[in-house]
Parts: sequence; structure tokens; C-alpha cells
Amino acid sequence: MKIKSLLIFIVAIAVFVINSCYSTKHEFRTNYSNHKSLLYKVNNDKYLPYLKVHLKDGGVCIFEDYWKIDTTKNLISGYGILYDYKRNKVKEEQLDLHFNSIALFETNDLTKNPENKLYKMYGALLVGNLAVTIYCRLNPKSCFGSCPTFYIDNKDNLHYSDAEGFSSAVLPSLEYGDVDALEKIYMKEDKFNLTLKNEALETHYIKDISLMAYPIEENQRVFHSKFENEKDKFYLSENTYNLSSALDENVDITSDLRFIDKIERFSLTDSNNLLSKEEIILNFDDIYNTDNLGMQIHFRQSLLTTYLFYSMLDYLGNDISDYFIILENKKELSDKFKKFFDELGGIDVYAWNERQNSWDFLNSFKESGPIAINKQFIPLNLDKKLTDKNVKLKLVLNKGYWRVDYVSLTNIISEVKPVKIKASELLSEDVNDEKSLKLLNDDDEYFVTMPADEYGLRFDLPKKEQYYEFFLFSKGYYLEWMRPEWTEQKELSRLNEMINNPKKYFKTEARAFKKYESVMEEEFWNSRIDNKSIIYNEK
Amino acid sequence: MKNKILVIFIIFGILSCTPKPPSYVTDYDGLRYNRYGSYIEIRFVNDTFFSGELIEVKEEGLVLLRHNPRKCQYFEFKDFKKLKMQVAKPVNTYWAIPIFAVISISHGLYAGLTLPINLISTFVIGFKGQRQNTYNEETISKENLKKFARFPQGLPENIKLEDL
Repeated sequence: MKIKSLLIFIVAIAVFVINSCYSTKHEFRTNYSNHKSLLYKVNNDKYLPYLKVHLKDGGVCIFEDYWKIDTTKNLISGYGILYDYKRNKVKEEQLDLHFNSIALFETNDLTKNPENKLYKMYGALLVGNLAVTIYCRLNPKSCFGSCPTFYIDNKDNLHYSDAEGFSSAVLPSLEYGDVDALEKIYMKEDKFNLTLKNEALETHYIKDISLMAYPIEENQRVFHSKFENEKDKFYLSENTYNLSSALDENVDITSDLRFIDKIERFSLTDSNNLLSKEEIILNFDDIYNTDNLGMQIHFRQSLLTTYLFYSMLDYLGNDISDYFIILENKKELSDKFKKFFDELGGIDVYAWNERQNSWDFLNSFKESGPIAINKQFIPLNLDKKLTDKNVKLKLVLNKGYWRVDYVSLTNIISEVKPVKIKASELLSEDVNDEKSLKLLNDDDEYFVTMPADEYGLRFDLPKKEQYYEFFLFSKGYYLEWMRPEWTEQKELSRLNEMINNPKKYFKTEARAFKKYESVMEEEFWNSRIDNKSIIYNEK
Repeated sequence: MKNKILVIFIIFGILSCTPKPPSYVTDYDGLRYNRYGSYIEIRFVNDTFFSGELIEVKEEGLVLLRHNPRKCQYFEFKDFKKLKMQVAKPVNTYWAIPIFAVISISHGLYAGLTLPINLISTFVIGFKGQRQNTYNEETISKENLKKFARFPQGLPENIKLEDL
């Protein structure tokens, strides 16, 4: 609502400014009843305007470039065109008009052409547009979005989407399934509504979208846990232990991580090496039940991977399709591609081991995507004998790569398995689309969406008037739409370094990334888009 | 989406087809050479409508030279409901509407913000351009109106209206 008001305000300002730039006051034409007032005007303005002389017989004489007033002979002379009262041309030559034949003099000062104001307005509008175009060219992901996005309750802000599907699956061979935690909701009805959007210049091939729901009590939660080479796990839990303190190189960042408020803890990359690490120390005090503790964390990626991915596309130039085919068919190359991004690492979690006076590595979070906030969970598996009422954890993460919003501890009750629910209705522009629904629910078929597509999904819940913890499972891949600027030039040597010597690449590219980093991050996260309108729909 | 684009182009088409003034109305720079009176449109209180070249302005009314049929006619100010005077050709800048709409495409998701701003701004500028060089009864006085007549000094005695 605020964004709509802002939009209306901006438009109103634009209209006001444009209106105020235009004056309807007439000021360019002046009539003089005699030669004296004309002379006064000419002398004061110190220039000779062209002159129109209205004659007593109804004719008019137009002096174009040069004319003079001879007060001794009572004449006005110059080269001009004489028209009669019907405005037929009588003659065009050197003319001498006696004052007695003249009814009126007329001058028109056309130096202040009001039309120029219109073009100045267009100029200002063009400058503003070009600024946005240049920004989008430098930061395509922030303008053109990415991956299928999902919204609960008709929310419409890309930056607050509730889930994004298979962010890393940029080729068919990279297809994978992805679970995103949604929300704990009390459902009065037995229908759950979700909006699926394609907000990017991409074609999305969706193999599966399923809602995962687990009924819970009011004081319970279910958290999702997913680590590399492990299956998705879900933990029923109770109690929440808020963060007592958090230190980032001795800087207190407790307030950034203590609340679910989308005020995220974020750092900038190292200007010498994009692989530089940093540590955050987390302290949880006065935990009244230390049984089966687990940590919940809300996080998402920065735009670093986005930058690297688009850099790769840039390097490929007009060979891009050839390389994509090779990537599709050569596993070792696609493994290298994956390994390159793996170099950046995840959010490594360590627990303090009081007995050995050292940090024990627990696991690493690695969920992709810079848009939706991931809500994930890690069972701490702390030795109960060693656990007192205070728990100390450490996060080790790549500088400038992760944004962390929230951390807290909870007690795990048990591992559970949410029920997987297929969509019962698929709405396209509020109309039931049975054909698309069939495609979406068929595990062997792809449901394909194009830029600006938007669908409403309805899921039937087992029971109404019940608290549920919801998750979303999405599986598929997407293809980026190539843009001309990506194919203008190629730098295969940089691509070679990227794939075959990533450690060196991350060092050499660090300075180039720094140029964009602060602007890119600031602009992206400060912008708030409410109403999106992509006009690339070519259905 | 296709419908929205269609609507934009229909609006643009309608705007591009706005009525043109008579040929004797020059562009702004041509005012220096223009030997005719300005083009006037009058809507009367009885909702009749007349238009033509402004020949002269009198104390209580004005004379228009209508072109079809060609005839001079005197109208009293008291009968006027609305008056529009076109001293020079309007500036048609509606061509900018689709251009700026297309530029918005390069803004991706931000097109949601820039497209309406561009559409409204270009429409408003275009609208202003259409009313450029135009005055109405509120923006021009009777004294100034005289300056735009073919005979600002008044119709010479030797000329009959029928001769024009």
C-alpha cells in the first residue's frame, strides 16, 4: 500500500512539475500605434526584430531582415513583402512606407520558444531513463530477477518473496529439487493459496511444485534441515532461545541477528580476495532446557554469485550456446562449473568444545538464491554432559557472500515427515487452467512459464482450523534469455581462469567486483518494487 | 499483457489522430511571416460551434472568416461559452509515448515503476504540446485577442466583409 502511495506521489509530482513548466501567458506579440513607440522599443531592446506593418488600406507588409525608420522623411524602409487585404502577394522588393499609410506596427519576439520547454522535459525524462537502463545493464539480476518466485497472501514485492525455486539450475543437467520453509500459519480454511510468478527474463521448466505441511500445536514449530549429500530432514521442536550476544570481529551485531525483521547482518567482500573468510561468535545464555538443541537460521546470498554468473555469460560472448551444449554433455565441465561456485563455501557452523578448548565443526548451510530468505535448521548434537546453560557457537562464512537475518535455538522433540500435497487448482488470470494443472502435477512433464507469467495455486489441506508448518518443494531448471550486450565480446582466457584456476580468479576479480558491490547491494535492497510489469510476454 | 500493450497502442493511435488546424496556421517560428489572423474555435451557449480565421475584434464581439462556406460572420462575446485560439500549430510529441514505453522494457522489474511514470509523463507532455500555442478565454484578454486578428487595427472602412 505504501509503495502504491509512493507511486501515486511520484506521478503527481511529475505531473505537477510538467504543468508548472508551462506558461499559458501570452507575451511574444506587441503592437505599436505609432513609429515613436516602435523606436523606443527598438532602442531599448538594442536589436531589430523583424517587423510587420499593418496598413490603413488593410494590406500588410512584412519586413524580414533589415528595416529602418527615417523620421525626417516620415518613412519606414526595408526589403519586404507587401500583401493586400485579401492577403494576396502584391510585391516583394525594397519598400518605402509613409507613416500616413500605416495603421499599426507589430513585432513578434520568438526568442523564447515555449516548445523548447517540452523538449527540455523530454531531455530530463530521457536522462532519468538512461540512468535506470545503465544501472540495469550493470546489475541485470537486480532488474530482471531470477528463478520462480512464490508468494503467500498475494504479497507482491520481489524482495519479500516467500520462496524461490531451484536458483542454481541454469541448465537442464543442473535440475534439482529444493525445499523452502514458508510459514507457521493457523488455517481457518482447508485451502492454502500460493502465487507462482516468473519475474525474470527466463523460461522456467517446472517439474514439480508441492506443498509440504505438518500439523502442529500452537507452541510448536517444524524446521527444515538440508546439508550437502544428505536428505531433507524436518524437526518438530518447541521453545525458543533468543540470541544473547553476537560479535563480528568484536563489533556487537546482536540487534541484527536477534529479531526476524529483515534487518540483515551483511559485510562487504575483501578487495584483495573474494574468498576471504570472516567469523561471527554467537552466545546463548540461560537456556533452561539443554536437551536436543538445534539452531534456526534465516539467511540468503548476496549478489556475489549473481555477479559471477553474469560475468561468466559475458566471457562466453557469442559462443555462449556452444558452451552451454558442452556443459550439458560433459559432466567434468559441469562439475568444474559447480566446483567454482562451491569455492565460495557455505555458512559453516561450529560449537565450542569446553573440554578440548576448541571449536567442533557441525555442518555447513549452502542454500542458493539472493531473493527469498532461507529458513534452515541444524541439530547441534551437543554432548549433554558438556552443555551448561550457555551455548557458544561460531559461524564462518565468506566475506560479502551471505546476509544473515536471524538465529535462535530451540529444543528438538522428534524428526517428522510433512505430508506432500499436490496443487488441486491452478488459476491463470483467475480462471481455472486444468491443462496446466495436469502438466504441473505430472512428474514426467514440465510446466513451462514465461516472463511475466503469474499463476495462483490452491492446495487442499487435510484439516481446517489447525496450525500448520508449511514448506514448499519445487523442482526444475531455467534458461536465461540472452541479451545482446552479453554477446558483444568474449574473454575466453578469463573463463579459462574462472573454471581451471578459481582461486586465482577470485583474487584477480576482487577489485573489479568492488566497483559494483556497494552500489549494487545498496540499490537492490533499498529499492522496493510493488507493481511489476514485464512486457516481454510472447505467449 | 498483450491486452495492455494493445490498449497502449490504441490510445497512442487515437492521440496521434488529433484534428489538425487549417493550413494557414504556421508553426511557431512561422509566426514572423504569417499574414493571416489566428484560427479561432467558438462554442456558444446554445452549444453551436463555429471556427475560422480571426478578422477583427470589436468592442462587443468579433468577426470570423469561416471557410466552408467561405463567409465572414460577426459573433457577440455574450453568446460565447468557450473560445479557443490557435496562434500556431500545436506540437505533436505523442510519438514519444511508445519510445519511452519501449525504453522501460530495458528496466526489467523496475518497469513496474518507470513504465507508468514514462506513460504519464509523455502523455502529459504530449497533451501540453497539443495545447501549445493555444489560448482560451481565461488566458487571453480582449485587448490581446485583437493582436491576433488579420486586422488588429480593426477592419478598414474601405473593405467590405463580403470581399474577403
